[in-house]
Amino acid sequence: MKKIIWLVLVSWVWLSACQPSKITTGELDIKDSWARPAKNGDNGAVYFMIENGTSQADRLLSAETDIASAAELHLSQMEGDHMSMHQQEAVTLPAGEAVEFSPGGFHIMLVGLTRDLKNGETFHIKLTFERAGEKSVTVTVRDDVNDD
Amino acid sequence: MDRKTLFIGIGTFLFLLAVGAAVFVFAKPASFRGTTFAEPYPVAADIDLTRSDGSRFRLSELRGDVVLVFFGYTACPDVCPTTMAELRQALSELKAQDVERVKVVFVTVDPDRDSPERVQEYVDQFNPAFIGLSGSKTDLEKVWSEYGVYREIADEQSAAGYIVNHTARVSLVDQQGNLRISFSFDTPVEDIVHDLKLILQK
Repeated sequence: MKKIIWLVLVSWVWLSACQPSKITTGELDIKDSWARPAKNGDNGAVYFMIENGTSQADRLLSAETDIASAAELHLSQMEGDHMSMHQQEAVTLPAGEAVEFSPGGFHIMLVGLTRDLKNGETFHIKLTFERAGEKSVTVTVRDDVNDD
Repeated sequence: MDRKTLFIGIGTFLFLLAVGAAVFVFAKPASFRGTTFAEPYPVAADIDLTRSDGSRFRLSELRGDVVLVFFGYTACPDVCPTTMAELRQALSELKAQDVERVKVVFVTVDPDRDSPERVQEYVDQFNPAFIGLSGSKTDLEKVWSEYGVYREIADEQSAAGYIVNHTARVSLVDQQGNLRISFSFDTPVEDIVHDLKLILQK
């Protein structure tokens, strides 16, 4: 019996140590926003990390910008051996967790850019969340590649 | 244990270590990191399309060069620009004389919106040496099918009009015109550079 109690205790400590640490800033933060250079008239994509440090789940509902005719929430994902892209009504942001928007995954699709996006420049987008409300985000244009 | 036994022991250990290291360095078969095609390598089907300047492009005329073939479309905001940026990055990590022996070809999966001019203009922003190709749907369907490209027009109610879901792999054609490697979308640039260097040695 003692052995079993020990086993349970050790497993519990081990499992809790393995859990990803929760973000507890009390705020919803959008970090490291960037977009790849693109040309006027083309489509583009914005990437960032959203950290929901609040104790309640939130949802990203929409995006707006004045540098494109529309901004939409999209998810690229592998389906079998091909890439599919689906427009999202909203993106769920669990409490205490970070959700990454990155190439080949979630992104804000900029439809019909109304100007060139040049390396080093910045522009603004407005994100609307169900709970956190509207947040203005400064996006830096840069050319990132998956180099690891 | 006397000293003699100890020396023999250490000697044997060092000898085995040296043999192991030699086997590791010299006998380890150089292996590619992308998905490889097994021997006998399939011959890459010819791609025969008209370029934006009116000249004719034939893949079969690029024997002697390594060719990276990608299928995408210019309205694609995420996967296609990411792949082009990665290939540009990969080429920038090669020696200048090697870069000339690597050609990047972007074939559209969206001929209704992508003219040859449109595709060339699109790839030019990544690297003017990249080759952008389009053509008639009939000609392209042949190429898509020969390269096993899945392509599906999807109505996602996007302001961008329709979306084209497509195979996002990069195929590597070797100097002899054989299909050798296929890189999935999530392949790190470093792995593509590794494989390019390896195939360029041959």
